[in-house]
Parts: sequence; structure tokens; C-alpha cells
Amino acid sequence: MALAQLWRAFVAVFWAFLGVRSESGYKSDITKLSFAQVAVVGIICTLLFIGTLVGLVMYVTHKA
Amino acid sequence: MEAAHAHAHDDHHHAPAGIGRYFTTTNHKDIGSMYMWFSLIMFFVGGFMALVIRAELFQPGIQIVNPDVFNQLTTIHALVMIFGAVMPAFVGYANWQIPLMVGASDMAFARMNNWSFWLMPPAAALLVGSFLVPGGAAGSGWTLYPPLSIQGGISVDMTILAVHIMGASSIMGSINIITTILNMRAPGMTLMRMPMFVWTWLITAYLLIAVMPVLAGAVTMLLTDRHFGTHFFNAAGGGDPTMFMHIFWFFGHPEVYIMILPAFGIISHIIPTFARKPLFGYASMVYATASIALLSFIVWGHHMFTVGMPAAGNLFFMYATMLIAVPTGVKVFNWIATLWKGSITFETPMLFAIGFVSLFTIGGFSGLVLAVTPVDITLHNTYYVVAHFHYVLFSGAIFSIMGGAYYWLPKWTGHMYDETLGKVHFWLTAISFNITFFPQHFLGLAGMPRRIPDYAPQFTEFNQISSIGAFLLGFSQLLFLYVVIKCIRGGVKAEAKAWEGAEGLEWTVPSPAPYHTFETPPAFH
Repeated sequence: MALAQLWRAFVAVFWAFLGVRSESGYKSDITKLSFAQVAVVGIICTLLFIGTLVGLVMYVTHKA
Repeated sequence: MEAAHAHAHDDHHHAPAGIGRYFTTTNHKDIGSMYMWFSLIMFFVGGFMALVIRAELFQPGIQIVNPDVFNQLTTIHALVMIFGAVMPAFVGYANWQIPLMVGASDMAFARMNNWSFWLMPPAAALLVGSFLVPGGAAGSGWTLYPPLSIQGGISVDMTILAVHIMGASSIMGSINIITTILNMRAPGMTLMRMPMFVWTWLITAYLLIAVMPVLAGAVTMLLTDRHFGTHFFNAAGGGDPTMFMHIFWFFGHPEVYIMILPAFGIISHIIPTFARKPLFGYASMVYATASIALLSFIVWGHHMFTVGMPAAGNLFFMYATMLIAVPTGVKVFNWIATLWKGSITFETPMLFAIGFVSLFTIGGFSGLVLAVTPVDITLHNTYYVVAHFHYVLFSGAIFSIMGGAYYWLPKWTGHMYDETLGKVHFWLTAISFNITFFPQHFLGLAGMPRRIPDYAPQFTEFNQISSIGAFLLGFSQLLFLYVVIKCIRGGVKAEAKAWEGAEGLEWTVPSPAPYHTFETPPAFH
């Protein structure tokens, strides 16, 4: 997966997490990304999301 | 030869006669109808149990059932409603609608489909029949927490077996649904052009395949603890009952979404039809559904805030749970945006859809309240929780099922249902639902515990209001049964496109949908 393609998939998944997508962004997603790319990046982003939450929790509990 | 050919052709358009056909049928419409009738019967069985519970709670003290039977009723009411009513209803919709919506001739694995359905009645018989065995039904609560579920009698084994069978049925159903959706769509229907109901079921089916084996594992460990000398959950033998809770809720929380995502799908069809506008933000809806499904795996701990987790664990699950409100809020926003400036009419399906959006949102908000760890520590195991999950499951899942039934009845039966009676049914249901469950928020905030047959006198008034509402709610559903039977027997002839604003392949076939449809894949534009 080329770097630009990877970035495009990350952007699509980021918007998916928010649950919003612009019409132009959506059009470019369906023409330029495959289902497998989105699925793999989606799982990676879920793990990153968990990591971010754990990091936040560590930070909060460390301060206390 | 000519005659034989004509005869063979006829067979494609006439259903086999006789009641016996239902045992061997592989037709998605027959199987869909059986799922829905099964679901409706279980809805009344579970509803009857709920009315016994509410009758007992009409006043303090023990009047009708002893505490043991009360616990059995709450346990089996929940299991029957979740696994017997809500889930089979959605599988019934999937069977009827997915092939029609994607332009497929039937489900991918038609014989497995028959087996998926016929596993359900034995499972239901085990659950409901367990009231008759010595010691009565399982009384551990639907979550089957040890040590109660380890100590219970033979009925717990029956419940475990029922859960296993229903899980197998769900997994087979899911494999069927995924294969049908991925492989049998009409040419031209790309993934991102599928109807929303198909999308929500595709994601739900993956969730089912992911979590049903987890539940099967948990109840198998219970079974071996009970009979084969293991100590997974037995503290006396070095096991840990808390581990069961973690495993159970790793299944249990995605299960919540299994029961609500198809509802989102149905509502996403009804609202555009009666607002006469395309669904606002289709792509956002698909993205939000996928996102909710992924998040559903990392929030199970919010069911266990009072169990005793490290503060970091509680915080993690609190943050993650609150974040689910974001994609869910997007969905509610999109439904409202679809209504915005639409030419809205309020037929019965639309009334149920609007009721869904309004009341499900209340359930969502009380869920956010419960997501706050310190608040949950106060409200855990109170009636506030009972109010919350009935707002998401009754005015969420069941409202969508009722709305969907009115929406597609013309397609299934070929007749329009009685609109006046449908509207009466909606208003009776919506009003009595709120009379039943809204006061339970107050009871919970005042500290009334759930799953208890007796209570302190200060809770009496709200309990009486709730019980009166429950009886009204229960008996109102008989009207639904009457409307459905009346619609099957006759009524105004439904057109192929029964609703002016309806879109999709299912509205291109005649009403009632012929026994075999889309033998040649339709053109999809």
C-alpha cells in the first residue's frame, strides 16, 4: 500500500469513528480505497484508539 | 413436453400446500415468516412473565409468587425476550428482506437456513419447560452469574443447553446472511449502494460470529464447573467468579448492539419513505454503524463498575462508553436531518419510527448517566438500570420491529393493514410504555433494587403506576396480533410499491411477493 493510499485510509477511518463524511470525501473513498484496506486500517485504528485511552487513563491516574 | 414445461413453470409461482411444508421448506420467505411467528409467540410468553412480575410488584409484601419463582420469572423473561423475541424477529426480517433488497433468489445456504430456524423451538422448549423440573427454572438472572448458576438445579443445565443451541442457530444464520450479502447482490449493487438495513445486518452478523462463541465458552465452563470437577468460577477451588463476568460481558455488550443495529437499519428505511426524501448522510450512517460495532468490544467493563476494578480500569471503560455516544448521536442527527423539510405523513410505521427516535434517545441518555462510574456505583442494580434498558430495548428494538412489521406487511401479505387500528396500537403502546417505565427511573434514583419481589412502602405509588402501565402495555399488544391476522386474511389490495415514497428492489416485485423472486438478477441502477 503506497503511503498516500495508507494516509487516505486513515483519514477515512478517522471520519468513520466520528460517524461523519463529506460527500466529496466519500466519493474519493469509494473510488480510491478497497474494502480490505479500510477494514485493516480500521482494526489498526481501533488498537491505536485503545492505546490512546489507556494513555489518557495512565496520565489521569498518575496525576492523582 | 410443452405441458410439462408449463407445469414446471407454474411450480415457480405456487407455494407447496399443506402445513407439512414448513418442516422441510428452504424458501427464505417461509423461513422468515416462521421466525416472525416464533418471535411473536415468545414475545407473548415473555410478556406474560413480565405481567406476573408487575402484578407481584403492585404492592409491597409477597402476594402472588414466592421469591424463588420471582427470580425465575425475571431470569426467563429476559432470556425469552432477548433470544426468543428480539433476535429471531430481526433474523426473520433478514430472511424476508435481505434477498428481496439485494435482488437474490434466496438465502445462500437454504437448507442450513431451515436448520437455523428449527433449532429455535427446542431451545425455547428447554427454557420455558425448565419451570416444570424439580426446583423450578434458573433463578440466577439472565447473566447466569456464578455462584448462583453453579448451585442451581437441573434447570440451569437446560438453560445452558438452550443458550448453546440458540448460539449455534445464530452463528449459522449469520454465516448465511454474510454469504448472501457478499456474494448474491444484483449486478451494479456495490457495497456502498446497499440498502441501510442490509448494511446494518452485515455488521450485526459479524458481531454475532465474534461473540456467540465467547458466550458458548462461558456457559461451557459453567457446565464443567457444575458437573466435571473444574473450578473456573468457584472461589473455593481457586477459581474466580469475576472472570465469568468479564467473559460474559465481552459477549453481552456487543449483544446489545446486535439487538439495536438492525433496528437502526429498519428506521433508516421508514423515515426516508414517509419523509419522501433520501436518507440524509448515507455514508455517515454506514461509517457510524461500523464504528459503533468496533467500539462495542471495548466497553464491557461498564457493567462491572461495582465489582472491584482498578481505578484505571474504571476510567478506561467510562471514557470508552461515553465515546459511543458520538456515532450514535450522528445517527439520531441524520434521522432528524432526513425529516427536515420533508413531506412528512404519519402512517403507523412512521409513528413507530418517530417514537423510536424520541424514546431510544432517552434510553441513550440514561445510558450516558450510567456510564459515569461514580454515578453507576450508586445506581447499579437499581430500577434506574431497568428503566434504561427497557427504553433502549422496548422503545428501541421492539418499536423498530413493530414499525417494520407495519411497513412491510403490505409486501408480505398483499393487503394494506387497518390504518386506524395500527395508529390506536401505536398510541396505546407509546403511552402505556412510558407509564410503565418512566416511573422506574424515579424508583431507581430513590434506591429501589431490581430483582427483588418485596420493597419498602415508600416505593408503592410509583410501582403501582408502573404495574398499571405494564398491564395496559401487555394487553395492547393483542391488538397488534389482531391487526396482523386481519391483514393476512384480507383488506385493501396492496400495490407493488405500497408506499409512495418507498425506494428499493423489494418494491419492484408484486405484493404479496411471489413464492420465488429474482430468479434472474434484476437490473440495479
